[in-house]
Amino acid sequence: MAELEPLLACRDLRKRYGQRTAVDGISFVIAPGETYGLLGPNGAGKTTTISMICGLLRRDGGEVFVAGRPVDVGATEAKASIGYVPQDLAIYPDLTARENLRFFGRLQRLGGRELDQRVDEILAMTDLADRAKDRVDSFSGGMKRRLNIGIGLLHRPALLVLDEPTVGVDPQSRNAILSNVADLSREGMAVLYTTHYMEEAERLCDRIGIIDEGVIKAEGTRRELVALVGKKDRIELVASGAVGPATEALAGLDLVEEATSADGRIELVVDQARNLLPHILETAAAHGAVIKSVEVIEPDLEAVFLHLTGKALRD
Amino acid sequence: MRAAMVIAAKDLRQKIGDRSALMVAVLAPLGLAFLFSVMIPSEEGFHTHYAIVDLDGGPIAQGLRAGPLQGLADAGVATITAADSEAAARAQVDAGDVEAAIVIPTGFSEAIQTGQPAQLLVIGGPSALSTEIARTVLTGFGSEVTAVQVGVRAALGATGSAPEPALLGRLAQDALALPPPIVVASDPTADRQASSTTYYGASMAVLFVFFAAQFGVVGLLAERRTGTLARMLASPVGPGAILLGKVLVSLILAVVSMSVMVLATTVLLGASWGDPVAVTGLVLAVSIAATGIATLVVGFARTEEQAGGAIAIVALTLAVLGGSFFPLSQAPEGLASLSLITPHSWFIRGINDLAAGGGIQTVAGSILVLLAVGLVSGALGLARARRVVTP
Repeated sequence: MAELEPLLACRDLRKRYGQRTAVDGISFVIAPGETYGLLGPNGAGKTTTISMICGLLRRDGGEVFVAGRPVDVGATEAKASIGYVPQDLAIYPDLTARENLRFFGRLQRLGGRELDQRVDEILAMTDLADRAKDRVDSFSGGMKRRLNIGIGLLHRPALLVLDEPTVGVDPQSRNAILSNVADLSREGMAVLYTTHYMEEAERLCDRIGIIDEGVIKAEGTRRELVALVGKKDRIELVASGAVGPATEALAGLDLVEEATSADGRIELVVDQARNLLPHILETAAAHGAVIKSVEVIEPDLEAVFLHLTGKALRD
Repeated sequence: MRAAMVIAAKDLRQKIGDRSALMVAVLAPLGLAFLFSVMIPSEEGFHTHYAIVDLDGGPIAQGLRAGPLQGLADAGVATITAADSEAAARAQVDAGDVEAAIVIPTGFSEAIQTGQPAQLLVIGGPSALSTEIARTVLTGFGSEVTAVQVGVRAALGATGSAPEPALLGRLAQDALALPPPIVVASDPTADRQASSTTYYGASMAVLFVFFAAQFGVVGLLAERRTGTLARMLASPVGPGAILLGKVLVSLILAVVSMSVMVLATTVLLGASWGDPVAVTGLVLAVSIAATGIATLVVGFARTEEQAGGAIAIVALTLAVLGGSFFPLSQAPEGLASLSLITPHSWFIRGINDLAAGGGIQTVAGSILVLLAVGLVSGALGLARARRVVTP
């Protein structure tokens, strides 16, 4: 996807706060319809990076282009292509949901019938239509979070920037947010998604940049990142019957690098475990093994992060 | 400009729903103006009551009663009633029936006519001002008598003849009956002081306009804290439009606060502000000054609490220096000079000018100073506040 004309291109972004370097030469691109995740722990430089991308923060170096237009603090034309959803709720609690949407819609240069239509669409999409006239301070946390995201979508941005949108969100709302983002991506919207939750990055993102201490340590698809670690998938089978012959047969399969058995347990080291699993089960059964349980163990981004930085991804 | 208007409209909608803005911008200054005007007596409306005991009955005593003391009565400053004796007058003072008593002792006229020392007695009551006025009037009369005596002696001395006491007395009496050679005329523009209701209405209005003006620009810090400022900045809106929107809110709230104070004190308290065009000019100018200073303070603050506290300190300090709590005519000379650095002083000066019958030309100087204060502080403040918007 990155081979398409990029919707977002940032090159060599740099930002310092006094003696501390928050962002140190970050570069990446996002193609239309692509979801790009910035995965890193708190304080890694994710928010500083997207603040510079959205023109909220003056950068010390580098450049940002959105839809071919340079982005800076005063670059209003480029900003019209960006939908920004901050990590914390950025809404007015003393205004109603509709008033919040209308205000930010006007700032996005919407007006008249178009504004009314988009406000109604967003209220419907966020499931807040029946609470449109209620003040936001009477909303539940999940409702506020949905409104917070809806505001970022008002003007149909080409690039949606979400800064850790699921922090502090209940599992149900979190799932709904992830589904919404996936839907938007399928509709062709480019998404920049920052998170320190490995599962979210794996579920949503086409490509992931692993960021730590203001530097992107590695970038690619999940599989490409995992390959960097050099670890293979593992499959553990608990079986009875002809375990020995079955193990020998499995060892002869392509993509099976190693096969061992002991105490009714067969362990395989393979490439692309999920693709190979049906063939493995068929082969084992054909050679007299009765499979009682299967466990697939794949190296994850946690392992990648640990490998790249020497520390855990979690706080 | 459109974005600035959108931001200002949103802020005003929030402020209308926020009753604290109404309280600070209108109700508090109106209430304080009412209290001040009731509690502090007006110089314009000053009136006292004296008892006079004339135990002498001579021509000089009559001159005193018919001259300076009757003058006080004619000017509406004092009501003067006669008492039979010093004891009776003292009893009236003690009972609070009169503010002070003046006793002309027996032999007063004769003593003056014969060139002997004479004495008048003032019995003071709780009102120091009334007693002081009586003492001043009598001292003035004494100086006048002394001047006549000296003049007559000098004239008779020039002829080489010794003055006869009777002749001296008659000449002194005639001289006192003559109209004064110098009359001090009162120019209303040189004697500028609005009524106490107008004065305290203006003072409280200019004090609280700073609190009203803070609501817009301090909102910048609040929006930075809540993240809505970043959200605005991520939209196609420049930092300048956001700043302009906030400054507009401050200015509008300041003008509304001032205007409501002018109207309310006029209708409810009977204040007389003067020429409407000139008052409008002063109101706009002081609103701009307050907005500029509030913007400057916000430019140096990190949080809205810090900004609110700093604006309160600045507003109260300027109010004390600028004569919001007491007329500068009663202040030490140094303070009166220092007051010229405050918008309060220039605004109140303008209102006093209008109370004396002046118009827009009379207060043009005050308006220009206020505008200069607002524009300079506002420009500095905006330069600083830009860092709040785009760190």
